[in-house]
Amino acid sequence: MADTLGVMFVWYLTVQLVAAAMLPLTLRWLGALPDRGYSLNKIAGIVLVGVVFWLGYAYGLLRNERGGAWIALLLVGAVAWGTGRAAVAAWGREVREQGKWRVLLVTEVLFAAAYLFWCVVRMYDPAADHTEQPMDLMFMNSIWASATFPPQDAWLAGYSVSYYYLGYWLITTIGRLANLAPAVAYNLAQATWYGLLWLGCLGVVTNLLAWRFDRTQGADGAAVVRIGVGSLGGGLLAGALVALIGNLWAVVEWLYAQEVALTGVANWVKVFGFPERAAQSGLWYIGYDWWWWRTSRVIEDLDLNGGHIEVIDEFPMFSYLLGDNHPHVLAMPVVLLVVAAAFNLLLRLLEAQQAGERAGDRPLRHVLGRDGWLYLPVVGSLVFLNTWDFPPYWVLLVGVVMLGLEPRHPRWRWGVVVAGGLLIGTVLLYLPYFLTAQSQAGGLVINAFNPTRLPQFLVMFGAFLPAVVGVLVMGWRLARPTPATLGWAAVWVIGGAVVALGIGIALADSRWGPRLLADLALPEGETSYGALALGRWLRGPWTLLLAGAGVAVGVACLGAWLQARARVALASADQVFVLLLGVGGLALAYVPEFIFLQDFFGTRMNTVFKFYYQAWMLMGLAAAYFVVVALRARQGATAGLAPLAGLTAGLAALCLIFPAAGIYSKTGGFRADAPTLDATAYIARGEPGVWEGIAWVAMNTTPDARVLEGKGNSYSAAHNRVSTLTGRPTLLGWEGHERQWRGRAYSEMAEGRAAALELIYRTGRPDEVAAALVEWDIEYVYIGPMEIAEYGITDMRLDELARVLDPVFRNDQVMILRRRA
Amino acid sequence: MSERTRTATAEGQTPTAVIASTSLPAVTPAPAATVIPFWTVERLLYAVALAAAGALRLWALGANALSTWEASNSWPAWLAAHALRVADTPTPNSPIYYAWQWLIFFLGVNTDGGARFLSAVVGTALVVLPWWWRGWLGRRAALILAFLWALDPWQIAFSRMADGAAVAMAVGLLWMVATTQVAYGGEGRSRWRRVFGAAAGLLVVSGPMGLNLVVPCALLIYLLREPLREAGAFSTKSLLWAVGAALGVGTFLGARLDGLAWLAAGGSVWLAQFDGGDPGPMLPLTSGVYGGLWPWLRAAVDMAAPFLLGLAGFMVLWRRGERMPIQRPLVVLLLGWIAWGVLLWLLPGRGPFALPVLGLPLTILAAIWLDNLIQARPQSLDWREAGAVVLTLLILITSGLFWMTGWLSPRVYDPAAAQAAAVIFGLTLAILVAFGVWANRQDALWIGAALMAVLLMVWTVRGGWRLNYGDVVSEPAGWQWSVAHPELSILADDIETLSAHRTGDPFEQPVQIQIAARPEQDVRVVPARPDPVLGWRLRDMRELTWVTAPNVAEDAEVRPLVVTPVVGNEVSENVALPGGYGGSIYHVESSWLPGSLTVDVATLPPLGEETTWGARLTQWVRPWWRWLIYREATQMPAARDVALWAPFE
Repeated sequence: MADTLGVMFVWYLTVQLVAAAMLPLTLRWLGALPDRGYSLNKIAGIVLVGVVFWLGYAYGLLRNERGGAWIALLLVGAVAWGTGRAAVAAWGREVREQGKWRVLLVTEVLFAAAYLFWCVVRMYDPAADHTEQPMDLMFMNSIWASATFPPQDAWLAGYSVSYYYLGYWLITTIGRLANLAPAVAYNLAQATWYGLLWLGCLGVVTNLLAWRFDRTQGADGAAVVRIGVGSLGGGLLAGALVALIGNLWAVVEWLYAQEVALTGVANWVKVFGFPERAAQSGLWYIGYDWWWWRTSRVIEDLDLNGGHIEVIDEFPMFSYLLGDNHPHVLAMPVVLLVVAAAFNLLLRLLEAQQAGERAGDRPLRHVLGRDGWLYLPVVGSLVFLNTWDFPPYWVLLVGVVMLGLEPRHPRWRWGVVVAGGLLIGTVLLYLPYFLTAQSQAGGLVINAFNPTRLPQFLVMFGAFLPAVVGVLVMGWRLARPTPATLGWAAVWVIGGAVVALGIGIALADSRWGPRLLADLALPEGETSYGALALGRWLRGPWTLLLAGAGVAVGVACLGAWLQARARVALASADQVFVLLLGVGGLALAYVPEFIFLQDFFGTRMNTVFKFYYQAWMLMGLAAAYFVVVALRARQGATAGLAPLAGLTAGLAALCLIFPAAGIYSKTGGFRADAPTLDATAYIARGEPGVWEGIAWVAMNTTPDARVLEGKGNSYSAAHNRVSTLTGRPTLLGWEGHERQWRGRAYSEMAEGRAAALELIYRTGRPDEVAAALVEWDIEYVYIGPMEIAEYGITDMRLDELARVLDPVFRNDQVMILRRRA
Repeated sequence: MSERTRTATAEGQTPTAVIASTSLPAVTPAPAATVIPFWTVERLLYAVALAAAGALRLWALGANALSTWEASNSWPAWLAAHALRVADTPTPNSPIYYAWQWLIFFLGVNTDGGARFLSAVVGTALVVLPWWWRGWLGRRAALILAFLWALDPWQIAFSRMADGAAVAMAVGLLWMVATTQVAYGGEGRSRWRRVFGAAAGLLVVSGPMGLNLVVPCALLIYLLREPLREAGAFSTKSLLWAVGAALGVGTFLGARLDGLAWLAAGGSVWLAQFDGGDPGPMLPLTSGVYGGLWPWLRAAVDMAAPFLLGLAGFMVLWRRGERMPIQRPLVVLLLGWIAWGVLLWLLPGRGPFALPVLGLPLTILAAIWLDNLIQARPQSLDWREAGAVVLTLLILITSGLFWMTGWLSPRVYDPAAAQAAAVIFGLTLAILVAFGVWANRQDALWIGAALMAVLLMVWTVRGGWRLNYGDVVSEPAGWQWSVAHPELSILADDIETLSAHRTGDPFEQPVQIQIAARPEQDVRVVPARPDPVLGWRLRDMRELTWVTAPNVAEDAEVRPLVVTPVVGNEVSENVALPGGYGGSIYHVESSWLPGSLTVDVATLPPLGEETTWGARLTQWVRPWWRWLIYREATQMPAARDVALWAPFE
């Protein structure tokens, strides 16, 4: 236990050191925010240090080792403290004189508490042994083992990682700094990112609320923002809404477990597997089974025969409960940083307008100028963290630039300039990543057959929707769009979707049909795709229409500012920004109604997953702001909206059942023989022989030595253990996942590998085995329980292999052979 | 001999400006210009120090084969110079040393001495740096310091290693000199400003030792920040000089840009000092191996004079600092520097790089103390009397040492020898006291101090000799945990001889070396990578390949020589060679640390009538004493072996 506490402390100190190195830069960059970006500084520091380290690594200037990470940290610290000491001094004065010690204190206490809390949770559920956790661990170990660029893909020997891996890189960067290996870093990083998620929410909403409620005029006429307790409370509420609560389905599950009759609800929502796979246990935590899984599968699509198609609708607390370190989880704090940076940009542009400067002529000065160069690495990092997240926030930034410009200037032109600049800058900055990445994306596909069922949509976002409606009302009152504007917005937003769907349905039976409709097979007895699709849409267009209407209203409000050459008032900056967040969130939930990205699965599963995840966050932020504003400001744009705020708060409170019961359930009631943060300890305890073999490989082979293992099965932690835990490349890992990451190129890359495995483990004569080992450059052959079971390896086979391979390690579970010639 | 015209204050009188700038009482105006010959006695003495340093550093520079640590630096540079590549080679830790070694190898030098040449030259040049501290330390103290550095066992040791440490020490001290010159307005201030910037850049790219010296350098800059700021030291120009020097010199004008990546490797080694953790792909040896007692023991055997005299010197400097404001920053600098050194010695990852961090400031203090000793020579001292006393004392001390040796030598405890040694040393002290009472207390104190200084210097010079020239397998005196075994040369010679016999060319026959993890003296397992010691030593073999297992075709026209690891004196049964091969074992590396001298108390005879406490203590202490005096090890250093397999003709 002392060791565990020790590594927790070392890791925490490292994160604080990174934050300290970054502080002057953040204070300057986000200086327009009321808290000067202090609450977001840790996120910014981790991103910048990690990106500097990665760039040094990519260009051969820094080796991927501990010293390299520290040089990156020192470089960032030197630049930050060399150029920004005045900002730190000014911040110090504000802390003393303007009461900003509160935000400092809340930031630090919140991070420490969230970090500690999630460390404890992980200590009772540390193993990276289910779903895609081994994949995360493989990426981390592959990066760890790759001293030079590009990082090798341990599951496809000879190729580099083809995935948005910056998040894993950031984790291993902290691991390098703290000298803690991936097995432990896996869990510590999760706790850290959980803390950062809370900080991100705190940072965005506290700043928005402080701008609304805590802004006063200083003696010299300048705006002084004293961040009050109410604003900080709003920030904490945002953290709770985004990072803590579950969706409403958790309430249904809980009530059902308490033997409340819910047949009507079940029939209305129709969540797959409920209630037939749910238990009426009577327990407050429902049970130790994975009941909470269904909260991430409340949306369901149907194939053309009416069969189940899985659609993922995760939300942050579910992801943390599951325990993945996936890109969408790792990107989230950075997304929040970008959101805060966008608000910072809006304030800077509006302040410049108010100050009478002609800054509007040169908006790029604010984006890429002295304080703003950080927009590029941070916003651009989203492409590399979780590519799906880049477009929405790229649009957000462009929208902010256009709204923040003086009306007399060509906003659209500057919008295009900023959009293009960010895009080109991102490509150039992260060029080494783009040069080594492959994509599975196969273009856009029309969602002709699966309108989201409204009950399911309401279960997913129900807690936030009253607040989003309130935000739209607030926006309407502020912008007062004309009927014409509203009409045009409706035409573009709803009409566009309907036209897209119409085209899809109309062309469904043409030769373009399969391309447009994701290549679905027509069921027996049906003669027309179009008729089938039309029938489904006519039965359930409500999610499309309601969400579309909301988006249209929001777009109309925003359009009113752009169209009417109206100036956004500095005092209303927070409200306009929240409208952007609310509309953005709703739009992200709206888009998968009519279009999705073609991928390996051929369904809209991933599009819904990734877009809903962002929608959850944006709606959560907007809802937290709205609840506080509607309850505190009974006049103006939010007058009379308190009931909506109350409804949101009430529903959110109900959803707290999810973390409470879910965490208790997933940790087995916080029971463990030896709580640990080592994600691989379960192997050492359960299969010590296998663990010994893996340790032998880690110590006795070079980091790029190819070690043959049995072919992997996706989602199986028992396969590919050597490559997963050592980063040593093997011929074939999780094949399904490799195919997802590499798209069509994978078939060619993997050609012959499965046959080679079969030949070496099962069928080949010794001379054929020897030739195959040479052909595939395999240095070691690992034979563990999985290989023995799957390839039927007998003693006789071992004797045959021993003619061309030397046994170099052996115990009762594992044998490792080395190529002889 | 050339002559130069100078003012009396121009040379070595930089404090004048400082005293003026720190509002001290005005000094006497400079006298009229006088003609001073270039070769003054002082310059001649510096030249002597330089020559001595050069001789000590360059003599038999290539006598010992490169150790793992050195080979980890030199082998990659040699490979780069010959446009060769071996996967997973260890990483050098100093960009600057890598770049310049590359140049040396590129120019055709191909010897162990050549690999160490840059260290030796820079380590030699370092001893003249006190010339520019004459104003700060005093002329005599600076000169003494030059001699102390010339004889400094640790500096000699680092200067005789193929590693960037000597360069780092030189650059770090140069930065400090430049700092004082810029701050105190010495001659050629603008030139020193450039040196100030360039040295900073060079220090950063000089490796882990350089990073160790960044701390005292930064402290000095902090202490002198005001005059430095006034002198424009913190300018963009200085920054450009730093970056330019780091990139230009650290990569040899861009020829070895890949060397910049070694900055990270050096950083990893440096960081490993703090927690004894992973030093990165740099194979050996800096962390987690050296015990807590080790640096203090090394100080006792190698650097007794600088340490003891240095501690006394600190008292002198402290008192002097109260009177002389110019030396106050020096007091704080040395105090901070010593504290930093002590910290590094206490950290779990302590290693050789930590030694000079404490050694350097204490040597400066020792010079100050010796200067003070000479200064304080009593005017009343009558050498006719004192000479007799000194001679008597020396005879007594020598005989006392003989008795002490007699006490240590027998395996059975002989109380008579210990008693005799104690009586003689007591008598020595009594004579000195009597002389003080009879003649003069000051005279006696001075003679005692001087005698002690001389004895300590003798001990230090002897220690330095053993450390740098007398380190043999049976009497391990060096401070590197692991060094190349003399048999390594025999292995290389045998390979070349076999090749010459069979191909007509000593470097023509293919050689395969098997890569394997290496358990090192029960301390750790070094992960599998090409062995730099073998890689360096066999670098001239044209067809040298690294394999995970021997790859020998039965029908090959020329069958390769194969080198495989040997674990526990046993040739692995897994060596997969066809028939017709015979092998022999060679030691390639030996590892030893004084910790192995420790006697397990449980093995000592129990107390009884025949075994007294004194006898038990003697048995426990004896191995340590014998090593301190004779470098005699109680057991042979652990050897790492390989087997050379050659096909029968």
